[in-house]
Amino acid sequence: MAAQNLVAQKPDVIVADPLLNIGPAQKIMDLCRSMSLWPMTFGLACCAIEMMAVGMARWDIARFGAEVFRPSPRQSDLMIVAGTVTKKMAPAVVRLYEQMPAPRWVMALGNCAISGGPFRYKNQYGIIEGVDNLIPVDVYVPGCPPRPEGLLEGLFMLQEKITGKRFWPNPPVDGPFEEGL
Amino acid sequence: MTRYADTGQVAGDFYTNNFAKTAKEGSLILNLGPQHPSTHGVLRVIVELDGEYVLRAEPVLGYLHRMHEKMAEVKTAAQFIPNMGRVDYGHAIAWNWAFVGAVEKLAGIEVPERAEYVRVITCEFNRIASHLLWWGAYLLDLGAFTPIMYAFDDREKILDILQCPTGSRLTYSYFRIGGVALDLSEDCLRRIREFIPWMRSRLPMYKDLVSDNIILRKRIEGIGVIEPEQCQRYGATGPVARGSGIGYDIRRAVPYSVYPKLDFLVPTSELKDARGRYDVRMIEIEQSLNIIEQCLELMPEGDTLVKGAPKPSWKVPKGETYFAVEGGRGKIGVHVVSDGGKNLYRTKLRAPGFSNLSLFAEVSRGTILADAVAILGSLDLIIPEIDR
Amino acid sequence: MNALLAGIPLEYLAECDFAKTGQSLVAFVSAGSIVSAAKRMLGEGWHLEDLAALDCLEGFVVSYHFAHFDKPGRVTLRVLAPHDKPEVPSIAGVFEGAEWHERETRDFHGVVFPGNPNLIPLLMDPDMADCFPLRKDPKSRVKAREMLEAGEVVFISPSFTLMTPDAPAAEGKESGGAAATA
Repeated sequence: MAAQNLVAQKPDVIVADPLLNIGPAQKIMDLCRSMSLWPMTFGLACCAIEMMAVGMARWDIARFGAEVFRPSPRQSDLMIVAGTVTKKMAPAVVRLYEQMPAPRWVMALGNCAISGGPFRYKNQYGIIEGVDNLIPVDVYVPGCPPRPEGLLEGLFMLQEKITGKRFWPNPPVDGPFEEGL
Repeated sequence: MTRYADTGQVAGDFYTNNFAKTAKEGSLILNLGPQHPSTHGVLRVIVELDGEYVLRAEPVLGYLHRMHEKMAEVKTAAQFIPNMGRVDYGHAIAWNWAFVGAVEKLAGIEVPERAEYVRVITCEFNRIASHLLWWGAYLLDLGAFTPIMYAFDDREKILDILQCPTGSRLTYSYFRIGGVALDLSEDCLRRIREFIPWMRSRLPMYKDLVSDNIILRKRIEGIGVIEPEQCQRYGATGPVARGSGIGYDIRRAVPYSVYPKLDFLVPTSELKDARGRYDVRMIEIEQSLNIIEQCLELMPEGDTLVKGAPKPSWKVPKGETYFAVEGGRGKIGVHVVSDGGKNLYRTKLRAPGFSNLSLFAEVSRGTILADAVAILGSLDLIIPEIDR
Repeated sequence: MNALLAGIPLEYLAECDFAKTGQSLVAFVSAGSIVSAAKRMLGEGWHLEDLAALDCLEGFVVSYHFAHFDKPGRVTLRVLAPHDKPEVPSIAGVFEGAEWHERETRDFHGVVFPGNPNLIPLLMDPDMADCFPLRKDPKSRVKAREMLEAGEVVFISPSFTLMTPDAPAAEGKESGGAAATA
C-alpha cells in the first residue's frame, strides 16, 4: 500500500444522526463521553514519553477521566498521535483510525504530528508533514515535546469541543505558580 | 497462512510475503506491531509460531526513519545539535555529546574543565532517567503496573533538575561546540544535593519490591541467554554485553572528558540472561549517583563555553573523526567526514540499539512468545535511534 | 598492530593518530579480499562497530569499523566500489551483525552486497526502495583524499592512487612506501 494514494483522500466519514435526538439526553451523553475518553496508545516517538508521563502520578490524567489507555483501536475513542508519522507508517495510521468506532476524536500531539516538526526540510523524503494530511484532527497540541500540562490543556479543549463548555479553571497567566519551580 | 482465494498470494504486505517464503508448512505467521502496547516505539516483529514456540523472528524497521543522516548534510553542524536530542530521547545528552565531541575532535577545540564536569553530571543524570524509564516500561511489559509509577516519580525529579540548565524535559539540545549552553545555577546544585540521598533511599525499596520479587525472577531468569561470542559477532555493547560478562565500557576502555579522574565500578554479570542485564542496569543507576557526587566535589569554577566558540557560519575543517561515548544502551559512535564546507559531508551515526536488536532473531529462536517479549524488553530498545 | 592483517592482500595500510582521529589503523582492501580480512578480524577478537558508505568522486568508499573489547584502538577497513557497479561481497557470513548494516547501506547509497541473506529494504519504504537518499549530486562529490585520513603510510600498492596527493609538491609518499612489505 503506497502512502501516496492515502495522502490524496481523506476517509469518507459520515456519522449518521442518531435515531432519537432528544436534546437533554444528547447533552448528558456528550458530557459522559467527554469525561471518560479512552485514549489509544499510539505513541510513535518522543512525545509518547510525555504521554506516558501524563498517565503517571504527577500529572495524572486519571483525574479527568482519560486514564484507560487501550492498545486496541476498537476499544478506544481518542487517538493521540504522539510523534512523527513516516511514509512507511502512514497506512497503519489510517487503518487504525478506520478501525475506531464512532464517535472518535484525534489529537495531534507535538510538532511532528501537526506539521512534520523539526524533520521538515526542503525535499525531504520520509515523513508525512502533519497527520492531518491523512486523518481529520480535532485538537492540535504544539511543542517539541509538549509539556504534560499542554496535553491536559488539549484534553480540556477537546472536552469543550464535545460538550460546548470548559469545566476546569484556566491556568493562571500571572501567577500564583507552583512553589519552587 | 491465509491466502487470497483468487491469486493464491499470502495475505500480507511486502515484508510478510518475503518472510513467508521460507515458512514451514502448518506454522502461524504473526505480526507484532508496529503499533503495540509497549513503549519501545514503532517496532514490528514478524514471528513464525509453532503453537506457542517461536520458530523464527524478524524485526522490521523503518517506521520511524527520520532522515537524521541526510539532515546532517543539509544543516550546519550547530543546526544539527537539536536532531541529536531526538535520535534517542532516552539518553539524549549522550548523543549530544557524541556529535559535539566528534566535531570538537576534528576541529581541535578544547573544552573548559568546568564544562567537562557539567557535561558528566548532566549525562549521568540522563543515564539514570533512561534506566528508570527502561525499568518501569520493562515491568509494564511483564505485567506489573506499580514500578512504572515509582520510576516516573523519580524521573520527574530528575527532569526538574535537568530543566534548570537545559530548558527541556526530554529532548535536550544542551551541548554546544566548545562547551555547554548554560551553567548549573546554585538552585540547581542545591536540588542535586537533595536528590542524591533521596534516590539512594529508594533503591533498597526497588530491590525488595521488584528485583527480589519471585514473579519477576521466574519471568526473567534463564531466558534470553546471549553468549559473549554472539556479542562479538553482532557488535552488541552496553548492558547487553556487560550482562554476558564482557566488561566493556567506553568510559573505561577509551576514556574521554574527565572520566579518568572519577572512581566508579563497571558492573558485569556472569548470568548472561535477562536477569544479568537487569542487574547490570540497576547497579549502573547507583554508580551514576556516585559519579555525580564526585563531580560536585571536583568541579572547578570557570567558563562553560570556550572563548571563541564557533559561530553559526563556522566552517568545519577538512578531515574525518570517529568519536564514541557510553550511552545508556551501549556504545554510541559518530563518524564525521568534512570537506571544509559549512555542512558536514557525511555523518554516520552508530546506534547501539541497532546492533543489539540484530541479535534478537537468533536469541529468540525456540522460546515461547511471552519469553520473546521479555527478551525484547531486556535489550532496552529505543526505536528512533535504531531507525535514525 | 601491523601484523594484524599480515597475509591479507592489501592495497593501502596506514597508522593514524588515535587521539585525533579515533582510528589507529586504516587499510584499503580490494572487494575480493574483504571476506578474508573480516574472518581475520573475527579470529583476533575484534567486533564490527559499523559499516557505512561515503559517496566520493572516485566511487563509494565503504568503511568497516572494528573495535576490540579488551584492546584499545579502532581498525578501519575500506573498500572502493565504482559508481556504475557498486558491489562488495557481503561479510554477513562472518559477522552476522553486518547483515543489517549492509541493508542500510543499500538503502542509502545503493551499494549491493552479494551474499547477504536478506537484502530487502531495512529503513526505507519498499515502495521507494530505489531513491538512495544519501547519494550525492555528481557536481558536489569531493575527492576521497581531501577528506579521509591518510595517516602514516606503512604500505601502498603501486597501482593504488586513491589516497595519493596529485600535486607534485607533495612528498614522495607513494614511491617510498611501495617497497615495504605488509
